[in-house]
Amino acid sequence: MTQNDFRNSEARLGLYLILPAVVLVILVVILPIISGIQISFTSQRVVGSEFETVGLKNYLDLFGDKNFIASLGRSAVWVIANGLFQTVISLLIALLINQPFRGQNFVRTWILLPWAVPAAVTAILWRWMFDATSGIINTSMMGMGMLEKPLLFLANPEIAGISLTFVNSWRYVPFLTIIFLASLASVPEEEYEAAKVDGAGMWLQFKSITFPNLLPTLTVLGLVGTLWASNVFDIIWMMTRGGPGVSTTTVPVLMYDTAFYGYNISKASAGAIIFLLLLIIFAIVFIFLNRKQFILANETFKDLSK
Amino acid sequence: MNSSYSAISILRLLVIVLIMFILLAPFLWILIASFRPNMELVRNQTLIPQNITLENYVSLFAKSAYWKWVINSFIVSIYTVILSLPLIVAGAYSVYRTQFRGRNVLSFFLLSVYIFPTALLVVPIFKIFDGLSLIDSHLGCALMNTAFAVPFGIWLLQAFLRSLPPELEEAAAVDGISKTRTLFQIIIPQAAPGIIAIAMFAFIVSWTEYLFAMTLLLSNDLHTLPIGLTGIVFGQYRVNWGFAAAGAVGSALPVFILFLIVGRWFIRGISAGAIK
Repeated sequence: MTQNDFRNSEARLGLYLILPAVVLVILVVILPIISGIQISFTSQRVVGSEFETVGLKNYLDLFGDKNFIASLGRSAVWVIANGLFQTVISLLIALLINQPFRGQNFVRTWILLPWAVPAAVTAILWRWMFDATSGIINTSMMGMGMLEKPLLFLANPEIAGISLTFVNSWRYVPFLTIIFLASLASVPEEEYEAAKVDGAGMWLQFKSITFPNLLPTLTVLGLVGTLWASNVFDIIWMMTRGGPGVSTTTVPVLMYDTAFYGYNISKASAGAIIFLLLLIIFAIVFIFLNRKQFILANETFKDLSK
Repeated sequence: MNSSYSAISILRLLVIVLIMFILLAPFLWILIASFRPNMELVRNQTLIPQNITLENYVSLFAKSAYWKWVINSFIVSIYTVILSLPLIVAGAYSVYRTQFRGRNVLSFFLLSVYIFPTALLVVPIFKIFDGLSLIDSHLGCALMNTAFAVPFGIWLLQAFLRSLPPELEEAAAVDGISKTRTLFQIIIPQAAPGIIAIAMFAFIVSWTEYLFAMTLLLSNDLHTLPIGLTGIVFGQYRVNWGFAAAGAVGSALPVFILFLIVGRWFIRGISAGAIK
């Protein structure tokens, strides 16, 4: 076998191996998006009903819809609060539990429990903890005299968003922490030893060794984490249904409600496409601004796959 | 060990204990609540239970469709694992060990699924699945879960593959053993911990899933645990917290047992991957 034949057969094998995953993604993600774009140009109300083509009407309606514009704003706040908070907290926790201590194995395994249970359990757990009359947080704080009246964690429009951000972070921080931990394990031990010989303190070690080594992971998680946060539906839906009023109605919640409770799938699809375009713009800008990190991740990748 | 060093490590330990308390105490609290009568939960709640009862579990196990929901959840999760594993192993090997034009583009394309908000996908998915008789089908639900477990699974597993010592593979290449045989006889056995980890990842993705199950499974007979349980718990004007607590425990328990058995492997499988 010549070198060239070998390369060709390898290329074929590589392509065949990844193709099933690509086909699945095209079938259940890309085709639906195309179908969604089609629906968004029609007047269809429910799946299977009659409709006509209306062009950009749904889009123009949405731009004039105060509810939709407000939900875009709430989604932006939600994404910034969740994405930023979760990334920073996870990184800090990962740094904290990276060095050996008694019980490290226990912590590394069981820290994941909040991520591993169904969102339905999370919703029950925290609706119960937050409950005004019987929730442990209110009863114990009032018992200790810290509160006069119970705090309405989910029924007060001013704090419902904060409560949901807390619950959502409680759920995702453990998983992000474990990913950061895996990344920390890849930092070469020699670099720290060399730094210690040079007398570098903890902060200097973090700044000159840990952080640069973490940057590619931080960048990927920054992107994926932001997209995941923008996507959150289940926790909000089960805990507040977007309420009280519309105070926690992010775009996914509003569009789901419009499609399945407002019986207007074409308007919901148009809103979905607008939201998607905004996310794509965000992703492109993010990747462009951090292109150095992505190239870096790619280069290590190439070295290793030779 | 000097004293300032140990003061810092005690402080560190305290912070770790506090974090773990915030993350795990709710589970303990709901476990205790599940053994208390509902009346005791509604008012004048004391920290220590006054009465212990099994009534909540009797309503869950004997009076609700709990066992049916559990079986349905298992069916969807097992389907998801069976569908995901070959796709992830093949995809990870392709990304990590072969070279072909477009490889980077394809692996990037796969990760881009996370840009599509699932709540916005369900409308067209519903329409397409309606035409394929995949509505009201556990398989349809598992297909969606698989599509969202595979890309991240590939990323996790290829990182694990990179952490394996390359000697055996190099020896195989020198001996002229084909890449396909190398995959089955050398890579897969060596990558067993990583494969267990991604199987667990796929299982959990499916076990915790809410939106697709809620939208795609219409008949009560097919409902998964999260859908059935929240339907009863949040479907009433006054939540029966005793029942809700028992239901939460009953839904978390299978994951808890899974963690007891293979939890360490999961962490090993991810951490050994030394993701960069």
